[in-house]
Amino acid sequence: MADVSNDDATLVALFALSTPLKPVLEQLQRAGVPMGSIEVISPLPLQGIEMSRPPRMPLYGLTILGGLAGIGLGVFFTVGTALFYPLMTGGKPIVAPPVVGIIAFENMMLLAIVTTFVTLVLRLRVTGRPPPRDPRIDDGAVALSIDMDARAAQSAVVQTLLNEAGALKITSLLKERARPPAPVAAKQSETGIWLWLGCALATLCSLNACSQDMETQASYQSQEAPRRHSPPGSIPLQSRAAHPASPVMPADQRVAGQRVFQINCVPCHGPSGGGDGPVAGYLRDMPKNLQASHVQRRSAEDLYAVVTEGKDSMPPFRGELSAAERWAVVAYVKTLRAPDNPTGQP
Amino acid sequence: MTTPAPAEEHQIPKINRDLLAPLVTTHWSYFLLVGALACLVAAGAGAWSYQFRTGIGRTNLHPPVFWGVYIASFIFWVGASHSGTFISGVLRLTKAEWRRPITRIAELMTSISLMIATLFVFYHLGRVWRWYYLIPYPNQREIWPNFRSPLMWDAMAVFTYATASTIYLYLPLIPDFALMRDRIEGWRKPLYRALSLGWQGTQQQWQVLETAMRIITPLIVMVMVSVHSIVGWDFGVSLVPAWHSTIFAPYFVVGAVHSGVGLVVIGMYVLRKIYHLEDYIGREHFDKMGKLLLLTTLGLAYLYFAELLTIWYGNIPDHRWVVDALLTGAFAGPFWFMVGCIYVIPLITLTLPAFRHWPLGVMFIGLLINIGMYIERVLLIVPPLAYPRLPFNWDSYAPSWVEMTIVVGSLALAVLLYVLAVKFVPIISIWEEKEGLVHGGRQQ
Ligand code: HEC
Repeated sequence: MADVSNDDATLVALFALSTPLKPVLEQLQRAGVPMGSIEVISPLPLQGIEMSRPPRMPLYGLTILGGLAGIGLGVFFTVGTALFYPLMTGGKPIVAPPVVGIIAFENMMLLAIVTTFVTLVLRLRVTGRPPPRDPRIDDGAVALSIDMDARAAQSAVVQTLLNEAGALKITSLLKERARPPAPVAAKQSETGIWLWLGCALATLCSLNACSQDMETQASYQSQEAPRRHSPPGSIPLQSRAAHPASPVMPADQRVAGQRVFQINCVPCHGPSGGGDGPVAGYLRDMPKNLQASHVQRRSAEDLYAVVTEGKDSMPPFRGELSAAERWAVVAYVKTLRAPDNPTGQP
Repeated sequence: MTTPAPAEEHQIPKINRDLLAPLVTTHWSYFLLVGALACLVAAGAGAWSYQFRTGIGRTNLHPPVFWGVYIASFIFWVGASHSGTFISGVLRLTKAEWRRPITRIAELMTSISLMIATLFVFYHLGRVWRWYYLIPYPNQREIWPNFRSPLMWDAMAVFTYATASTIYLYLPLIPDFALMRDRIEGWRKPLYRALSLGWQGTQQQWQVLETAMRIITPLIVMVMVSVHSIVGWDFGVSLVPAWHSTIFAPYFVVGAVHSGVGLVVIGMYVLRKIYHLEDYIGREHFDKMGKLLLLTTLGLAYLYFAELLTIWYGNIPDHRWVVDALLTGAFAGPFWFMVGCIYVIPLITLTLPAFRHWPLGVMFIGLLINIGMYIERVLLIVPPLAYPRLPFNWDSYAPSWVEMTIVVGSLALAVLLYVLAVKFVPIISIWEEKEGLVHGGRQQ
C-alpha cells in the first residue's frame, strides 16, 4: 500500500471490479471530500453509481432542437421548390404535401442524429481532467481518482479510508504530470486527416474537368439502336395531328372511305348520308344531310376539320381514325349524291 | 451496484487478449486474400473507368429495360446494410443479451454495404462527374433537384442512413479505441488516439455515451425502415405494371432484413472460424439467428404470396404478362431457383432445432438466401420493364461484361473493406462483452 503526501495532487486508488464502491463513496463524502472532485474510472459502465455527478447534459433537448431544424430544412427545400416553380404536374403541385413529409422526415433524422453526435463529441472532449490510465483498469479494475486540491490535510485521512476499503494500489500524481502529452500526436494525425480530405476534394474537383458531351462518347451510338417497327395496323401517334400538311385524295380512296363511313358514320348520318341514321332521333342536333349542297360545297379541308374535331353532337374522330382514314372518309363524303340529283348540281 | 464474482473478473484479461488478437497477429494467408481481392477490385475499377471514358452505352441498358444489374445491386446492398441496424438496433432496443458478440460484426457490414450501394448509384449515372447536380444549392445553371422524384428521396434517405449508421458504428467503438490506444503500438496508435476522443472511462463519459446511444438507437431503426421503404417507392409510385403496388415498401424492408441477417450469419461463421471465437459466438447464437431468419422467411413469403395472388386474381393483362413470364415464361428458371433459395430451403432446414445449432449449415442457408435475394432483386426490376404495356415493345436484358465486372469488383471491394476493417477495429465490442460478463450474466 502506497503512502503519499503530496499537496497539490490527484489521488488515484485502484480497486478490484468486485469491490462495492457505493459505501466507499459515501465514506469519502462523510470525510468531507466533495462529490465533484471524485471520478470513477471503469472499463465498463457501472450500475448504481450514476449519481456520483449530476448529469449536466442537454443531449435530449439538443436532439429535439436538431430534429426541429431538420424539419425546417426539409420544408424549406420542398415548399420552397413548390413556390419557386409553381408548376402543376399530374394535377399536383411540383412538390406535394406527402413529399414534404418524406423529405422533412429524412432531414429531421439526419440533423437529430448528427446533433446528438456532435454534442457527444464536444462533451467527451470537455469532460476532461484525464488522469493517466492504469492499464489494470482495462483488465478488470476500477479507479477512484480524487482531486486533492488544497485539501492536503485530508490526504492522510482519505488514504487510510481507501486502504481500509481494500484499495489495491494508491498513487498520487502531480497536476502537471497528470496532463497527457496526447495533443501533439493528435495534432499530427489530425493534419493527416485534413491532408486526406484535401486530396479527396482535389480529385473530385479534377473530375469536373471531364466534361465530355454525351454525343461525343464512343458508346453513344450503341445505345441508339434502331427503333422497332410498329406491328401492322398500329396507328402512328403523329398522324393524329389535326391538320397534316397535304391532303391526298386519289380516287381509289373511295372504297376505303366507304368502309370507314359504314363503320363510323352510318348510325347517325344513315347508310347513304341522308342524315336519317337509326340514332339520329336521339340526338340534340339532327345530323346533317351529307348529300345536301351546302355540305358538298364545302372544301375537303373543312370537312376534314369537322371529322377531326367534331361539331356539336358529332364526336371528334381524332382518336379513332388515323389521318389517312379521315381523308378517305372525307373523299367518300364528297361523292355522296341525292338519288334525284346524281350530278350534285344545286 | 452489481458486484461480479471474482471468478468472472479474471476472465476480463482473457477477453482483451482474445478480441485484440486479430488486430495484432496476422497469418500469411491474410495477405494472399487481400491481394486476390485487390486484383478483383482493380478489374472492377478498370471496367468502370472504361465505361467512364466511353459512356454509359457500354452497359446493355436499353429502352424499355433502362434499369439493370446496377440498380439491382444498389437495392441489394442497401438491403444488406439493414443487417447492422436490424440486428444491433432492434436487439439493443429490446436489451437482448445475446446481441453482444454480434453487433459490431453487423454494424461494420452496414457501413460497408452502404458505401458499396452508393457506388452503384454513381456507376448508373451517365456523365457521373456531374453528380453534384443532385445537391440543392443555388447555382448559375438554374438547375434545381426535383424533390418530386422518388430518386431524390432516395438520395436524401441513403445519405441520412449512411451518416447515421457510421455514427452508430462509431459510438460503441470509442471505448474500444481507447483500449487500443493504450495497448497497440505502431502506425495505428495516433489514429486510435484521435478517434478515442480522450476517452478515459469516467462515469460521466459512460453516461454521455450511453445516453447518446439510447437516443440514436431508436432513431436509426426508424431511418432504416424509411430507407428501404423509399427504395421500394422508387418502384411502387411508378405506373409500370407489377411495380405499381402498395406492398413494395414493406416487402422491401422485410426482404432487406432477410438478406441482411443472412449476411451477418456468414460473417459470424467465417470470423468465428478464422479467429477461434467459439467462446464468444456460440451455437446458441446461430440458433437465435436461425430463428430470426425463419421469421423473415415466413414474413417475406407471406408478402410475396399476397402480391402474386392479387395480380393473378385481378387478371389485368399487362400485369399478368409479367407474372406469367416469371412463373412459366422466360424468367421461370431463375424465378423457381430463387424461390428455392430464399423460401423453400430455409423453411425446411431452419425449422429443425438441430439444424439451427449447426453453424456451417446456418451459414450455408445465409449464403443461399443472399444468392436468392440478389436474383430476386434482378427479377423485380427486369421483367416488369421487359414487358411494357405495348407488346410490340417487349424486350429482354442480360448484363454486359462491363456491368458484370463492375458488379463482381464491387463485391470484392466490400469483402476487402471488411477484411481490412478487421485489422483496425475489434470485430466484437470488447467493453460490451465485459459488460455482459459483469452485469448481464453471460454464460460461459
Ligand atoms: C353521333 C352521331 C354522329 C356520327 C357518328 C357522325 N356524325 Fe357527322 N354530324 C352529326 C351531327 C349531329 C351533325 C350536325 C352538327 C351541327 O352542324 O350542329 C353532323 C354533321 C356532319 C357534317 C357536316 C358539317 C357541317 O358543318 O356542314 C359532316 C361532313 C359530317 N357530319 C360527317 C361525318 C362523318 C364523315 C362521320 C363518320 C366518320 C360522321 N359525321 C359521324 C352527328 C354524327
